[in-house]
Amino acid sequence: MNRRHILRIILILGIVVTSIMLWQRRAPVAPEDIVVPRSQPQAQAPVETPEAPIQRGDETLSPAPLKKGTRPFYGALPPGVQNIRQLKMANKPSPEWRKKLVTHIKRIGGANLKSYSVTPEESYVVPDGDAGRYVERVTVKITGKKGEYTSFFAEVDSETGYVIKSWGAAIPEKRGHRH
Amino acid sequence: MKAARMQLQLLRLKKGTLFGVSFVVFAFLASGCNPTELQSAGVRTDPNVVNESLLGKAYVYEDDPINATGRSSQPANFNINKIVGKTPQTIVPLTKTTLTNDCLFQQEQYFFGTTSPYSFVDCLRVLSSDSPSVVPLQSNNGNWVFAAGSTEFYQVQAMYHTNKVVERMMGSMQFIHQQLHVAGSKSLPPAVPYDLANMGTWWFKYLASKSQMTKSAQLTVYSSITDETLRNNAFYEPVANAVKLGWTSYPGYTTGKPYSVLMVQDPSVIYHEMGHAFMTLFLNMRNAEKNGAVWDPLKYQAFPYYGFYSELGAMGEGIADYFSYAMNARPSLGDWAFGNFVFGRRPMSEDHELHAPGISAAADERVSYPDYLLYEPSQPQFPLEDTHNGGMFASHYLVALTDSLKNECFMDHNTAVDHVMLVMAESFAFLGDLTGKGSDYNNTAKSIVNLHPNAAYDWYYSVRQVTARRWSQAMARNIYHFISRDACPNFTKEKSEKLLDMYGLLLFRHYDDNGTFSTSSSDSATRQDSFAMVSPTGLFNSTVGGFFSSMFGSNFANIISGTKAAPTTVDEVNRVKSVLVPKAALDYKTTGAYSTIFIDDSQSFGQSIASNVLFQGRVISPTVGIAGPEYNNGNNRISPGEIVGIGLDMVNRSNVPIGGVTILATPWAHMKVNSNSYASPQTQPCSINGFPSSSEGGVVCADADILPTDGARFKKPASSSSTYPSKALHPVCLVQTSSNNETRWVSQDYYRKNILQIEDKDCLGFGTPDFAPSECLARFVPGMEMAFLAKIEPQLSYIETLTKPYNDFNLTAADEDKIPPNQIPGPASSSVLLLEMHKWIPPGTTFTCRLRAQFTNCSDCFESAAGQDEYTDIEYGGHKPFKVLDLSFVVLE
Repeated sequence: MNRRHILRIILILGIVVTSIMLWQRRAPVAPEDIVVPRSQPQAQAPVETPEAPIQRGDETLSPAPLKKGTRPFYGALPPGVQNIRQLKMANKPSPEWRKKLVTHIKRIGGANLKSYSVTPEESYVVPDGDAGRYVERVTVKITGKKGEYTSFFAEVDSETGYVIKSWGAAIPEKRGHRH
Repeated sequence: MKAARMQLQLLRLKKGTLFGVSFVVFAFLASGCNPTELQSAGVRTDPNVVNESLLGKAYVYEDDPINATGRSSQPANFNINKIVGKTPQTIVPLTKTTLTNDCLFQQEQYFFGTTSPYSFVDCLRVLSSDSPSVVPLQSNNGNWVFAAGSTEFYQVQAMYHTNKVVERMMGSMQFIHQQLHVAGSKSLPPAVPYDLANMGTWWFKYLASKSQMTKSAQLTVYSSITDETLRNNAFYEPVANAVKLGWTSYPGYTTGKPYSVLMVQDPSVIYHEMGHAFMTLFLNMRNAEKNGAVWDPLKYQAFPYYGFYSELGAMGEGIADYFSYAMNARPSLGDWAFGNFVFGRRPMSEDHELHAPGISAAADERVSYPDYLLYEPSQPQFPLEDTHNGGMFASHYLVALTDSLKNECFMDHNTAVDHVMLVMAESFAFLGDLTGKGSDYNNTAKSIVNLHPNAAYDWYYSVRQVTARRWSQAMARNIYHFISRDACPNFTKEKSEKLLDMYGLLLFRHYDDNGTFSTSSSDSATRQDSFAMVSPTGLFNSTVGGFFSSMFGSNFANIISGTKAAPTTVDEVNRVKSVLVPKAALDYKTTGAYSTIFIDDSQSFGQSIASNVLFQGRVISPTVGIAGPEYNNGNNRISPGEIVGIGLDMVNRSNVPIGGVTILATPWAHMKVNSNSYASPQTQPCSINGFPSSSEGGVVCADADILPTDGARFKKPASSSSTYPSKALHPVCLVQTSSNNETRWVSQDYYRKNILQIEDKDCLGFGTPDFAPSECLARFVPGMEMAFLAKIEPQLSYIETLTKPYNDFNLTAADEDKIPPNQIPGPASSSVLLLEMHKWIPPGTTFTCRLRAQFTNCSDCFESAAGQDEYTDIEYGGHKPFKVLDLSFVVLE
């Protein structure tokens, strides 16, 4: 084997190693999989080797979310309800909920309401006493004729459009009345 | 020839002069252009040349025009170019073509001794405004250099300063996680969860509404919104996950003039707004639940603002101010954007020139709670109820704490800030925990905070709001366990307590080390201050190999593991400035309850209040048809059908101020359920403080008989096959009935069925999810069933506290100096409850509504006696932590 052959073998090996490295680096990244953990060994501190038996994986420890029809159920089932199919419901979903909510916001906003938007985010079921309730999570944005503005989240009854909870109002820096 | 030469020379001279004059004129005109006006398309470098040294970079200002120049004032048309640095700074990574940045959170992995970086690509972006037509800014041949004063320029500045605070806080988060979970030995199980990265709660995953971090969790900074909503304003807006930076309406500004003073020109405002964002993150660190293999955010979160004035809102402002101090080590906020023009700058240390005489770094002259809750530095003689002023005790305390850590622990600024952030994150992760669990290590299946997952929203947002007391207690607890007993033994418990006391914040008797571990009673016979330590649920997995038990066993060697243990007590010797006041000091006026209430039953009030509340982020739902503003008659009495604003002008009978007065008209456990049948529930009012007496229908109630453990309400069950809960929270108003010369107090449900024969469908609140027949006739409207009074001065009422200094001033002021009545601030909307009355109530009917009141520096609101454990969250469903205010009124025509 002469020097030329040796160089050729080195070149081929180099190409192969580089190809493998490139192939490994081009792992596809789904646009939504943004959290990407990568372990990096730290300083050479001695690390105790595990001796305990391997535990079950996460997926076997926590139950999958319950569903009522197509909607996920969030929270704890009421006492005495073993299965979500036994869960009585306090309301019936209606496509009118959004229209009713908008009507209500317009009514209480009154003459000062300049513009508003209601954006549905998610439909789900929550516990309500000894029953369940179909609800919608929405975001609301409103502006007033005098320059007022806020936005907030709201949990809304899927039948009546009634606002059950609201939270997350915009935090303004404009200060209160000052002499 | 010579003459011609001379003429030519003259001409040359003239030309030179002409040129010189022209240049001067041009320069003058150019300087006359307002350089801070927003200009478009301000490209400053040659678009055809790629400057390698500028790739990903731009020239930036590090500070605002006041602090960058060292001058005490600058004109509104300040030339921003004067403070732009000469060394280009990195704005975004080279790979970015639009103005976006990535976030990197490094999480220590205990077992492997490794650090795992978790990155969220494009976590942050900047746009010029929230107009739908706005498009992301593109780099200029790889660099971000644009003409100073242009819209593009300000977007770049906004990104520079926002990314600066994000990178700083990501470093703090890594430190916090490492300190709490990996380093050293700890004596308290932390609230900040171990699995922050997978939970996604190190960033705004809750906005994604699903397990993965998605684009909707991206934070957007709008660098210069110049519409009316942003006049003298900036926002942190959780719904959009956005920071909106506005403009300053400086003196002399006229409508239509370009907006030359912008919030973005003042980096301290950016840091402050980002402070709100990070406080929100801290509050929600635990608010995710594991479904299958993934963590889903809870359906609702804990936010640092309740709308209107509240103590949490005030502290939120002070804490956001501290974020500015954390970044620039300068105890002053808004020197340019607010201070130079609109008297809005805020000091954060007692040495600041802006403070009124009498404030100093001396132990008894600090900006303390509750003395300075209404303090406005620019007009200290006049009180102002506003969250931004009310939170100054918090910012001053945090700056003083940072200084103490620098001095006592020999820490540099950044290290001291990291430790302050640690105790803040730990405090808020606990207080904002809506899962109730409080710590990964709570294996008791019982909540230790916010009562119960089903009631956590009510407890966090109304019944147990985060007050200065709860916050300072949590801070003290975490300083003790994570600094005094760990990171810096030199900053002793005694020093910590003395510092808190200087700020009037030593408002508690013990540290409540393990939350309120809810049993139905806090009595020593049954109390349990501790919970068993276990490995965090859900962390037995391939990631760590199931060695958490041994890990935490050694890390938390001092954990209390018994069923009873005494919490850490405050050394009473350290309580000098913090004065606790018995709840009896909160009283009606001498003329009685009725004269204490102020009523607004005008039609205009009825119509405007709902709108005002809506713009604070709350949607109230008054009943339609059965009550409403159309019935309001403006006679300052409560009449059938009216929707009435009720304020309680409570008096402080003590000799020291009281702060954070909360008045609740929310349902609570004051009725004994004798029958919980769907068709005919029977209840009887508990006799509390002698009302009602047994001859009036009252009955003695034991806690175990009436307090629900899950916050259940006594509302109409979903179906006739169901029953009412036997222990529940009941609407607050009772009604008086008379028969056979006997007067009794009964539930409204009883009265409407047996006396008025009103059916469910004709009741107030019918059709709502919380419909309760026992508020059929008189109903506090949800969303306006809680009032907040910031402060009451000694021997004054709430309204006198707000108005007396103005009225006193007017007594002696010259006519031209008198303050017009319409400029004297009155009670805020947050101090008002909204009551609606059924239109069919016969005039002459008497009601008593049992409201509950509490205040922050109360001595006997939080435990039954010194040495006892604090009241449990369950007990907050009853009367013990409160002063019960029996508000009686007769319905008049």
